[in-house]
Amino acid sequence: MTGDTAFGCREFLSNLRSYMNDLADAGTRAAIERHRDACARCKGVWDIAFESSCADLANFLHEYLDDTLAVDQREVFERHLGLCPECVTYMETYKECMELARDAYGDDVPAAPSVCTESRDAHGGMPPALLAAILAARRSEVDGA
Amino acid sequence: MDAPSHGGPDAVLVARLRGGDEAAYAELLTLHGGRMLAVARRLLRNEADAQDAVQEAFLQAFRSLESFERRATLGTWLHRITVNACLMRLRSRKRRPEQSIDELLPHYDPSGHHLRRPEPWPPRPDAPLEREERRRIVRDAIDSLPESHRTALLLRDIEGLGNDEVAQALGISPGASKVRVHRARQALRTLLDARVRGGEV
Repeated sequence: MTGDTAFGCREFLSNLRSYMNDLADAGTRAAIERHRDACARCKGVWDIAFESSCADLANFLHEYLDDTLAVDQREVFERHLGLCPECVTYMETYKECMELARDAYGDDVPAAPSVCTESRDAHGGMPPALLAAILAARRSEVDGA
Repeated sequence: MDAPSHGGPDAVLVARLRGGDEAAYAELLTLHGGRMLAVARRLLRNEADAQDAVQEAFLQAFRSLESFERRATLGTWLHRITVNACLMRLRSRKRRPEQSIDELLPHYDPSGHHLRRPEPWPPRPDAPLEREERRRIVRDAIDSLPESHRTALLLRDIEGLGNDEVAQALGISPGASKVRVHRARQALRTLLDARVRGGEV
């Protein structure tokens, strides 16, 4: 059984993904299963790997970030993240994306001018013609009523 | 946004508006018009429509001054009315069939792994010129989302509405609203991925 002694935790971890994807050959599959049954630590990794998929993580990522998952779901989530750099990357880039979106529109909202200080833009970004049109429309509504 | 102001400037202004003080109306428009116009421009992407929506919103607000409650601020109250006026316009626009968002969502192999392995994004450069260019690229990407997803993303992440408010504004269930916003962000991530990693953003 030279195959088994050469198949340690390192081999287990590096072949686990191809096992999960059904890409491992029969010999590798068998070696992974033997190692799993013999090694408590790798059995733990196995359990976590099979308790949630990366698709599950991506599908519930917003719930995780909004903190609306139940405690046990959250634990599954965090176990998966602890094991899966790809999902950590996905989460980080998703968050970055939200930041970029906020930044993309962040500065185009002119702050309401303070009543006391003179604003550079006398109407706070409001075109004078629109302001006048709204006032006129209001007047005609009031007069018509 | 602004803190609620009991007896503060909002309350004073509202009292003047309710009393029919003409100058108060001009003041309200000067104080809040620019921000509301920015909201309408974002949502409608058309200057004439945006100005019409802002006009409708303010007239609507003037007509319903009695329903303004003190626990809100004028800013948030007007924001809500403006968002609704914009959504009415979006709904009345001639509907083009929307492209599906599916191809912009992540895809998985049978065991649930990402088919396209997520790659880290480099830190963003902070020079002003690069930031302007980046903002333009991100806005273009948001604009290229299917309309219903673009609107959901803007309401939630840019206008800062809560999920229940987004659901109500869009006339869908809170569950559907959550999913729509999430998919919009995922699609935006897909659209930006190559450009961010290529150093363009």
